[in-house]
Amino acid sequence: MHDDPIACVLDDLLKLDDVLACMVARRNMISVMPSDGTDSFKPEINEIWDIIKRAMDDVFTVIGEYSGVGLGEMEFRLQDCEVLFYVFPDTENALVAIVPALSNKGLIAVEMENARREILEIMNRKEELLVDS
Amino acid sequence: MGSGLEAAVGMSRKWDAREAGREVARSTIEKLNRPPDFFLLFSTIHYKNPNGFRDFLDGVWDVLPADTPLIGGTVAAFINNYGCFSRGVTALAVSYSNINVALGFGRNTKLHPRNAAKHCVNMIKNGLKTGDYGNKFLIDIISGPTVPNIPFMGRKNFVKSKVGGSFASSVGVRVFPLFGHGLGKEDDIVDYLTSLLSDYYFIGGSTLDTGDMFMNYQFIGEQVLKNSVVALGVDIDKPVFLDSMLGAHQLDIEFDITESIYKNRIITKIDDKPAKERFLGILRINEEQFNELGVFYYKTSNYFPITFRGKEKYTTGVAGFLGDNIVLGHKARGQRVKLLSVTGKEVLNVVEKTFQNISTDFFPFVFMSTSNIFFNMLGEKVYSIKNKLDEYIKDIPYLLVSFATENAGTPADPAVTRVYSFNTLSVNSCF
Repeated sequence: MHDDPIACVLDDLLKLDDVLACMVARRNMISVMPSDGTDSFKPEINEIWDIIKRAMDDVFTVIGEYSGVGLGEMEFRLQDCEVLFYVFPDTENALVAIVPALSNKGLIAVEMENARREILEIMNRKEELLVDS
Repeated sequence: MGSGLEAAVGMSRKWDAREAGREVARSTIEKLNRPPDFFLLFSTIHYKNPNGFRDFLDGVWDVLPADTPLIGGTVAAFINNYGCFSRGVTALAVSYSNINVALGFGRNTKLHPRNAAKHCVNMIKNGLKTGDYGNKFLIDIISGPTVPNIPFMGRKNFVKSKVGGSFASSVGVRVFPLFGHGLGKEDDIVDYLTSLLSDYYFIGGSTLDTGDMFMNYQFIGEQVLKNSVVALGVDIDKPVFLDSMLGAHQLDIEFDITESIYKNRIITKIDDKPAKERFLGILRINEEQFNELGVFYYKTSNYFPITFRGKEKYTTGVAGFLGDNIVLGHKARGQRVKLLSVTGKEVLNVVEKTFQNISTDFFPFVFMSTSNIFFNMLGEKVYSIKNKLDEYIKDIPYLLVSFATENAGTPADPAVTRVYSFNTLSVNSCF
């Protein structure tokens, strides 16, 4: 896991105080976790994690429908958390982060966008390697 | 560059403070052919833990030539040639043969803003008294406001109870600066700086963390300071380019400040009614929404800055609520207040207006300051600002930093502290 470059991007994002958890996910599946999995999530989300996972799946239904026509971001608030979805264009996958409800989302969003761009670059490089081989 | 003026921008995203310092210095000065004549250094707050910024600055000086004039501070975010970041460190360095540079600082800005400004100015004037290349500019970096940690109450910039609010408005605001906390008083500092350096072009702003207003730092030379103003005075033989625009529009909503205290920084009555009650009524915010302060600050008041009839170059906003009283970020400049509003499109328009009618062909660098509130508002869409900047200055080293408040001005139109502005500094190297 520590060798997975996407996991390393998630590790960096998780170091921000206001990011409680992050992952690359799609409906019914978490594709990439940070290097230490859910152990590295901040303890504040332990109580709410199961509910959030279920809610995420419902949101991914919408993402699946509309990512092909330009759906870029989604978010919802559940209890004291907000869940942010940064969709990878034309896919059903998204970078997902859970933040406290009153956090400074604007600045977190800048780093979410940077993480999305880095992960896209990694994914594109992997695809190119597959094509070349 | 035929003129010999060189500039470079570098950065680091390393988490280790010392390594980040080394990398930002190295990545900046390696692009120059000679040592820098000045070095601007900005960091987000992520090295705040004990000794973090000390280690960071030590790392910078592991690489930077000794005695390089350096100033800087903590910012919430920045944009440079490499991207948009709300975590990291960045620098802009300039080297040139026909330049004199001086550093200045003043401490205890929240308690004695004018004394701090005066001390700073004296250092600048002394440092630049020999020689005169004819064009002067000052980059000023002032400690922004901080919310004090009150025993048994925690950090609060709003006090619900009327009695508590009254006490805080009369006693608290006067006590907090004794401990280095409270309003930044950047307006007093900039007013005084511009009065003493009336032939200078100005650009700068006030430091902050991520907007929580817990702490912020300023850098000068090898020092990490708090609650201070630091400045870099430059005397150069190239004409200075400076522009400052407001990225907000006026609404048809006005009201009168009918009573204020603490040198017009705290409004006690609006239209002869208790200030908070009247202001919330004007914004159509109910008490329940107000109680969810995050809603108010991030979704409403950020979009409602204010200005003053007849003095529209001054803008400020609400910094807190103390009982029935409203604390402004800066002192009110008039009685009649006009509400402003901001949209993301407006921010982009201001960037476009800055560059569309000028030629940047001979700009060796571009340094810009703007409000942190624009970054809050735009979030990931802040890349639209970068895309706009790249349309005009992609091949020039550029750096835009987001401050708590900004200031910029010319000798003909002196700088004032305000928010929601977009400010640009360069020099014309073809002369």
